[in-house]
This record gives sequence, C-alpha cells and structure tokens, in this order.
Amino acid sequence: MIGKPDSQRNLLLAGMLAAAAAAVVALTVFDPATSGFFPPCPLRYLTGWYCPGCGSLRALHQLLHGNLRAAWALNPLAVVLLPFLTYGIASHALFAIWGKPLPRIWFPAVWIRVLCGVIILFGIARNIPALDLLAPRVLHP
Amino acid sequence: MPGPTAGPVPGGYAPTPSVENYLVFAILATVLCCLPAGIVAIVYASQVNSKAQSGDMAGALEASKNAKLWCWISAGTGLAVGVIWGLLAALGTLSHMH
Repeated sequence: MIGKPDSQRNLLLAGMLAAAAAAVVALTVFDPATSGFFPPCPLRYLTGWYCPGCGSLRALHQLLHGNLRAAWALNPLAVVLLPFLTYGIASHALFAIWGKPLPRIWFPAVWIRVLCGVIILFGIARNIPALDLLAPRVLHP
Repeated sequence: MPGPTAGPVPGGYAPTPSVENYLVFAILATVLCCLPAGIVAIVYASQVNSKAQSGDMAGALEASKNAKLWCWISAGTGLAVGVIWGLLAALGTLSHMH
C-alpha cells in the first residue's frame, strides 16, 4: 500500500475488516444449505458437476457451529486447508494493522504444485460415482 | 545474480526469500471464486517460490505480480457471478409475485 495517504489506507482497512466480520456473522447465522441468497457454485449450476470448492461455504457454516463431522462430509479439502488459510489471512491482517506479520511459513515450489494437483484431482474425484464419498454430503444429525 | 532483493541470497539455496506469492489468496480464489483463474494464480505462486529458490529475484517478482493479478481476476469473476446471481434471484422473486 505504498503511495496512499494513511487516512485513506486506514479507511480501506477498516472497511475490509468490517466486511470480513459481517461475512463471518452472516455465515454463522444463515446456513447456505437452506437460505437462498448465497450464490450457488457457477460450475455446479451450469454443468451439474462439483468443483473442488463445492460445499465449502456450507462446511464453514458447520465449522462455525462446531460440527466438524458435518463440515468434513461437505468438503474435506476445505477443512484441511482452513487452518493454513486462517493463518495466512491472520498474518496479512496483522501486517496491515501493526506492520508485523506472523512468522512466515515458506513452502518449496514442489509442495505448491502438489497442492495444485491435489485440488484438481479432488475436483475430478468427487464427480466419479465410485468416489462420491468425496462429493458434498449433508449429514442429518 | 543482481536483482531487487530484500535480503542476501546465498548461492544455490535461499532460506526465506521475501517475495510475496499470494498463495493464501490464490487458494481462496480457487475454492470460493473462480476455479480456472485461481489455478493460474496458484501456478504463479509456485513459480514465485521456485524462482526465488534459484535466486532469480526479478523472475520471482514478475511471477508475484502475475499471481496477484490472477487473484484479482478470480475475485472479480466471483463477485460478478455473485452480483448476477443476486439480480437474477431478485428478478425471480419479483416474477413469482405476478
């Protein structure tokens, strides 16, 4: 954020934090599985196929309510990636607010390529009928 | 190899090159916004690390720029789809009333 006056930068930062907080509250209160206003996955809507991210919003909703099993059934990949993503977002947020990030975890490039492959393979696998264990499943308690 | 680097890069092995790879946002973009553009961003993120690893800081910065760009493309696409969905939903609700 070089070249922007501090007040403008702070306003932008406050806006982003407020939007993030609002998103978390909305996702806690409303279940994307039943409330109509969360947009569906465009790929799922247009083709009927699941993408690697299908079920991740519903999984987040379940996690916010402490239901790890329900979240896992909806999107195991999202559940696995979430701690890493949360750490990264927290680090970026801390850096933006106090100018100090969390200790940086540095991955070799190969790991990132493997991750890329895993995401793509996960997306393909959950559309194969024999592997539909990976497709988004709604657990009924 | 000279380049805009924030820290010393010992020959052959770079412990923690400080070039942002936007990996977190690339993954978020892939999973939540737009799959194809997000995948491009992840590929650029891996290029940032591989180029920084080999000491090519200029190449790493270039890949970093591209990773950021594709995160924004993905976010923009996701947002556009969301807005279009919202409009369609609103229109659908209105047409149900008649």
